[in-house]
Amino acid sequence: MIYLIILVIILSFIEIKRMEEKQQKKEIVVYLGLAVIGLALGFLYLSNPYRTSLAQHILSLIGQEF
Amino acid sequence: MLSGKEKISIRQAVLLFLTVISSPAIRIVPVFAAQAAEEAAWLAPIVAAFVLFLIVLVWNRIYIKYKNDSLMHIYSDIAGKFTGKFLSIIYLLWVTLLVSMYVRYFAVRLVGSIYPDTNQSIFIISILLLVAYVMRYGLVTLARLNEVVLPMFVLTFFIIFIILTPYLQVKFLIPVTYKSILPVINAGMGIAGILSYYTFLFVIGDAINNKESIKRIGTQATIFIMVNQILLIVVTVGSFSYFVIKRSQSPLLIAVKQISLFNTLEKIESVVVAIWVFSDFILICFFSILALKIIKSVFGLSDERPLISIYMISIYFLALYIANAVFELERLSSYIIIPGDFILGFIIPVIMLAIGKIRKKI
Repeated sequence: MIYLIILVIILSFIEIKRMEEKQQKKEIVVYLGLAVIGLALGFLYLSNPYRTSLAQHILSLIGQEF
Repeated sequence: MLSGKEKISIRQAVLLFLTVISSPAIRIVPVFAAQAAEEAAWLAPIVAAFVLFLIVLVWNRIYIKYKNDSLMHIYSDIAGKFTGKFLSIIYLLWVTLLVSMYVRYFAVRLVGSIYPDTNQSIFIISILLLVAYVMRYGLVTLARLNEVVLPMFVLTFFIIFIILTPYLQVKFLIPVTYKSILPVINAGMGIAGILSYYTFLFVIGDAINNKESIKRIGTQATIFIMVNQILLIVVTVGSFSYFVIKRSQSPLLIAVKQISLFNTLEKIESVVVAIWVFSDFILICFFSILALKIIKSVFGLSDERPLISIYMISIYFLALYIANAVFELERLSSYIIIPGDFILGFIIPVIMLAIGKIRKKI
């Protein structure tokens, strides 16, 4: 988990610096949004890799249980 | 507006489409057709080709009016800004789901076919790193790479078909009677789900040149795909019968595994795996480009390239989280993805065309 956070911080630092140089403010906001989604998905998976999968959740919506 | 250097021709776009559908087609088409149409499975691509031809006509009609626009802009103009944005977000979520599913299929296939006991994460990280690297160079590079490699793979496929001909048994492909009509239509509609990816090409519609040739090149592609898929079903169902194929996960791979020419040419299944890997690579690259283009359009960004790395991290975890086993992936494909592809790739463009006609936008 800690490696994921470090990776996202390093990537964000590099990319946001580049975007700041080009004054891409909207891009920075979208980037941060995607970073939060990436971290959330990472926490969700790494906290329990054997949890009910996304496919199972989606299939259960249409009554296809395993 | 994009400059000429950043654009690809409609021919290159359709060649990309041919590569994009080849991986899911190799996996799904024989199985789906055998399950639904049994011995008459080889007729199902005709129905699917008819649906694809209709999609080609729909986009040909739409692009008579919208010459240099993307799918997102066209939907916004026809149905209003709110509906256009809403549909764009639906397409974004769907394409992201497709990318993560195909990334996982890529890893599962390699582990299942030639690298057993290997951690799937190794393959997922490898492909995502490669995709992220190629995406920095953009769509034009991808289209040119595909243009060079695709003919070689098409040739290889036809050679494999010729080599497999002695293994075919006509009894596995007949009888075909009037009772086969409904199952064939059912199977064809399933296959048409994959062919609906044709619509997704127009997410990058503003980056495609000479769209006045959509109908001509689309029709050629439709005939090519139909012949190709009929051959694919003939070599698989014709070699092992529908009964075996409908239960298999990689029908073409097991058909190719039986090839033995004078005890010298053997184990050429690695060629099929190479075609798969290439097709998956193009497919994942292409859908990732589409996802970032939709993000660019929805949020009005000037450049989407800084988002590549962080998007790939999300895809890595989504690919792992999407399914715990290959059976879940297969069920997800059959029950959700194929109908969803059909809705987003065929039904929504038809509805948009109808609304456009009513509102005199087209």
